[in-house]
Amino acid sequence: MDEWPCAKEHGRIDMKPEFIRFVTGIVRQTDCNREEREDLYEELLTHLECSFIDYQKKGYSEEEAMRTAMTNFGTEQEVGDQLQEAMYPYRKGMMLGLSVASLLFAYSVYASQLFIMGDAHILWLILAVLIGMAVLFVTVRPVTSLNRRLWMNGLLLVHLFVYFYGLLLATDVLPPYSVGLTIIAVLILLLGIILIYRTTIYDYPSKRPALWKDAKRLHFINITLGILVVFVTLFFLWALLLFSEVSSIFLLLLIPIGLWMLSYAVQMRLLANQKVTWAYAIVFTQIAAVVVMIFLVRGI
Amino acid sequence: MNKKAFGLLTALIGIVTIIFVGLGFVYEKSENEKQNGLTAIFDVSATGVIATVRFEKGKAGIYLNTKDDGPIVQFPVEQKILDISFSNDGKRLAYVVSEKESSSDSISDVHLLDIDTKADILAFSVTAIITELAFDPKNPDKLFYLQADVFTNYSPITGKRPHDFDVHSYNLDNKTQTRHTDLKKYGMQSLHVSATDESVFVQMDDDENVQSADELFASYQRIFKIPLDMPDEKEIISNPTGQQDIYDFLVLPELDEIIYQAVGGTKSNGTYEYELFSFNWETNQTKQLTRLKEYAAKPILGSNQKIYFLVDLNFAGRTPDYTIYQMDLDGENIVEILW
Repeated sequence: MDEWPCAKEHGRIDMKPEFIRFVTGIVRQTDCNREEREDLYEELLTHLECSFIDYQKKGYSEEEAMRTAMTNFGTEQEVGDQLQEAMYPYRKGMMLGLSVASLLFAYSVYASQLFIMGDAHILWLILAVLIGMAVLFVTVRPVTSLNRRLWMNGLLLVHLFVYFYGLLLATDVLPPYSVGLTIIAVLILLLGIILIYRTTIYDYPSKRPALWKDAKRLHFINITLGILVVFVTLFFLWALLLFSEVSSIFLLLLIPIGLWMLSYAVQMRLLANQKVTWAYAIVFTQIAAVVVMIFLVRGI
Repeated sequence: MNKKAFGLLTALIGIVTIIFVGLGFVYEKSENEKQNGLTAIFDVSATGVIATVRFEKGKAGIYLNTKDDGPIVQFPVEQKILDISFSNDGKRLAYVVSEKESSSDSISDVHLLDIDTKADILAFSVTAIITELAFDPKNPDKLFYLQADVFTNYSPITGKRPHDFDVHSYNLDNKTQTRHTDLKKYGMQSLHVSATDESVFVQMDDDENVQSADELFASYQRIFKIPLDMPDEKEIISNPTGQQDIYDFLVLPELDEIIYQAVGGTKSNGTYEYELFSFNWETNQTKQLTRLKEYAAKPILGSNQKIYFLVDLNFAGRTPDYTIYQMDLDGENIVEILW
């Protein structure tokens, strides 16, 4: 607060309820987490109060000074959008695009499956609409407690799985309908993956500035390996289901995913304990194992 | 977006979703109801009649010459027709019916249909899966058939299929069944009965002398002639050293030839192209008869000395798209039979 000259000049500033409501409305438009919101809230409030004091000094009445300070500041929506764009460039647009495209795709692929193939994928439609709505909700009505990396990535990962099934449904429709739907599904999945990368690496970075770079590198490698492991597992699951019925043997397929999750968690714990070398040793072992697996499969 | 606008949008999306769910309940079709059109089962009589099995909204029926005349027999959506076979004079058509959901307890009903009167009688039933039928050209009262005694998956990574095949026959005159072989073959198909001696021709794996799994994978599917009085003395009549699997065939004894189906090439997407070939067992000459680059199958000799065969224009797709073609014995003049 001390960085504002008026704060230095006037000491403690009385926060007006009108300003509190106004700033709350602005902050709600952003994707900030709780900590960032508190900082932003305080900064905007101080700025408004200083502006209010300046106008009063110029001879404005209290009410006029308050109204002019808020009018010159801009509307809640405008200021909120500008702040959001400045702090997280294109994020809101990407999230909005993901939710709208996902909802339209869900209805299109469901209708195509129903009227062309005769299959009603009701459960998938409900899941796809719920997840599309959830993404839309956190985009247009951000909730402070949800805007943490874990929750956002959880939401995006669920979206990825639900819409990967949508991709399979799109490829299953008779051509030429399948072509357009498949392209749209792939674009939606790519956008979802990009959002997972930016949410993890850029939008909600580690709280320890010294480890930012290492954390970014490890997150990037682990997310990439995770996507690879999950899709290879799904491919083998699909291949097995094609030729046989569901069996407990299929649980063995989950071992690589389990190992990847364990390895990722251990690396992050080591990083938090400043054991950077050990964290890198694990991630390189992981990469080596994947490369060996690829060569073994190619050999077969 | 304010609370009210978001609430309205949520309500709108909810209503649209409920409408789509409702439409789903109204327009969803069961797997049985989805089956439509020509199947891979057809036969050509000595009088030139083409009998086909078609699905109409999941109901299997037998059609003669054209689908416009409607089915001469039709079964509920739960049942399927596994094979049909004309008698040598073309006056009777034998066909086998079973449940679509196969199991080792499946019952196969073999019917006889009089082509002139359309009278349909149940000849016999067995608790097994009869996959193919063929009249004995030498005895109009003898009907041979391939019977699978189990419906199972011998490997955990394969689905359930009919196995333990053997050759059987049914005497329509004295109503007796005879089992001719004791092979319990993993797979057996394309049953043909010799017009000159007491033997049958079938396609199966050439795996009698294999010792290991590697040898089993390296073995080929070939055409065997099985003498009915000495079934252990079966012999391979297709090219015994040929490096290709043979899937379906037609024996032409007067030409010393077999016409068979085998892989002829591969599409750019990796799908095999199945073509028809001829093999002369006297000269050991092989000739490729079709070059349709599709899935050509099931060659049948017609009374007009033409070969009739099926082509699946959507092979490896979700649903097959069958068309019947005919050609000369040497593979010339390939034309589509219009229905």
